[in-house]
Amino acid sequence: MLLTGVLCRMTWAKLLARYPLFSAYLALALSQSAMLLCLQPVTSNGYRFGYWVSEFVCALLAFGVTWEIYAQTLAPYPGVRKMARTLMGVLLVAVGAKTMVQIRGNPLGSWGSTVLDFERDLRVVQMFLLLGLVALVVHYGLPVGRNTLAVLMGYGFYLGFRVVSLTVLTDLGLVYHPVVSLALQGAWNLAVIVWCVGMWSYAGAAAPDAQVECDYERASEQTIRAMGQLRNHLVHSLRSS
Amino acid sequence: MNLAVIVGLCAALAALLLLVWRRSTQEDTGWSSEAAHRPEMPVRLPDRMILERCLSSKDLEFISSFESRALLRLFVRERRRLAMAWLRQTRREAQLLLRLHVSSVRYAADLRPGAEAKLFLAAGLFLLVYGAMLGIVSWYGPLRTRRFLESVQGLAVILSQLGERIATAIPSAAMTAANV
Repeated sequence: MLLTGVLCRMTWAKLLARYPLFSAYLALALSQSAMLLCLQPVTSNGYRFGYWVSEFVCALLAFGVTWEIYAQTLAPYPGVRKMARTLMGVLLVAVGAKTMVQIRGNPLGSWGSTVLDFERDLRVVQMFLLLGLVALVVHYGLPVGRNTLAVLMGYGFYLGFRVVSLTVLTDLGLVYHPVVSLALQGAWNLAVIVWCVGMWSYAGAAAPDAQVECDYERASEQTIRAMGQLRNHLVHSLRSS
Repeated sequence: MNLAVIVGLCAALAALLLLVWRRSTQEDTGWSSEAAHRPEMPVRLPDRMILERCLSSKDLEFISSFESRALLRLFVRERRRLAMAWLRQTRREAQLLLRLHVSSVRYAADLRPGAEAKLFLAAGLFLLVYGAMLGIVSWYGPLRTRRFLESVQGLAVILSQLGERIATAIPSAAMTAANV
C-alpha cells in the first residue's frame, strides 16, 4: 500500500524520470511483495526461498540507488565526482581484497556460504559506498535537495538496520523468527514513509553559488603549508614560552 | 564481518546522515554555518604573547609570595583554562582554514585525490598534536606542561649529541681495530 502510494506520488510529481533507478528499485520491491503474496503461507518453504532470492535481487539493484544519490548530488561538482570515484574504487578494491583473503584462508567455508551471508556482504559493500559518498557530501558541504535527502535518509536507515539485523540473526540463528520478520518489515515501512514524505513534490538542491575561478594547485599547496604552520605554532608556543 | 565493526559503521553512517539532514534544514531556513564564516574572513593565528604571558613564571612567583594555597590553586586553574582556550582558538582557526579551502575548491574540475589526501593527513596530524597538547595541558596544567616539554626537548638534545658522538666514534674505532 505504502509503496504504491510512493510510486503514485512520484508519478504525480513527475519524479519517475528524475529518479529512474530509485523508481525501478521501488517497482521491484512492489512486485516482490505481490510475488510473495502468491507464495503464501509464510511458513512454507516456497515462501522462504522466494523471500530470500528476491531480497538478494533487491540487494543487487540497491546499488542503483547509491548510484542515483551519487549522480544527483555530485552533478555540478566534477572534481568532487572524481574524488568520489577514486574513493569508491579504493573501497571496492579493499573489500574485494579482504574477501579474496578470506576465501584463500577458508575455501570450503566460504564457498558454502548461504544466500543470507552473500546478501549481508553485498549490503556491507553498499554501506561502505554510501558512507564514502555521505562523507564527501559532509566534507565539501554540498547542498542536497529534499528529494535526494529523503532517498538518502530512508535508504541509509534501512540499510543500517538490515546489515545489523542480518549480522545478529546469522550469529544467533534467528533468521526465520516471526519477531525478526516483523522488525524488518517495520524498518522497511519506516523507510517507505520517509520516501513518501520526501517525494511528495519536486524539490531540487539549492543552486550552487557563483563558481569562483580558483587555481587548485596553488590553493591546495597553500592550505597544506598553512596547516603545517598552524601545527608548528601550536608546538612552539608552549615550548618556547 | 565482526558485529562491533558493523555497529561502528552504522553509527558513523547515522551520524553523517544526521549532519547532512541538519545542514539541509539550516539551508532551508536560510541559516548556514558557512554564512557566519565568509570566505573573505582571514585566518588569524592567536597571539603567542598571550600564552607566554599565561605561562609566565613571574606571575607564578608573585602569587606564590602570598603563601596561600587556595590562591595558588585558583591561579593554576585559571591559567589552565586560559591555555586551553588558546589551544581551542588555534583549532578553530585550523577549521576555518579547512572550510575556506573546501569552499574555494569544491567547484574545481582538476581536484586531485592525492592532494586532498595530503591535506587530510596534514589536518589529521594537526588534530593529533592539538589533542595531545590539550590532554597534557588539562592533565598536568600549563605550567608543568611547559617544564615537561622543556625536559623532553633537553632529553632530545642530549640524545642527538650522543648519537653524533657514537657516529663519529664508530669509524675511528673501526680503524683502530683494523690497525691491531
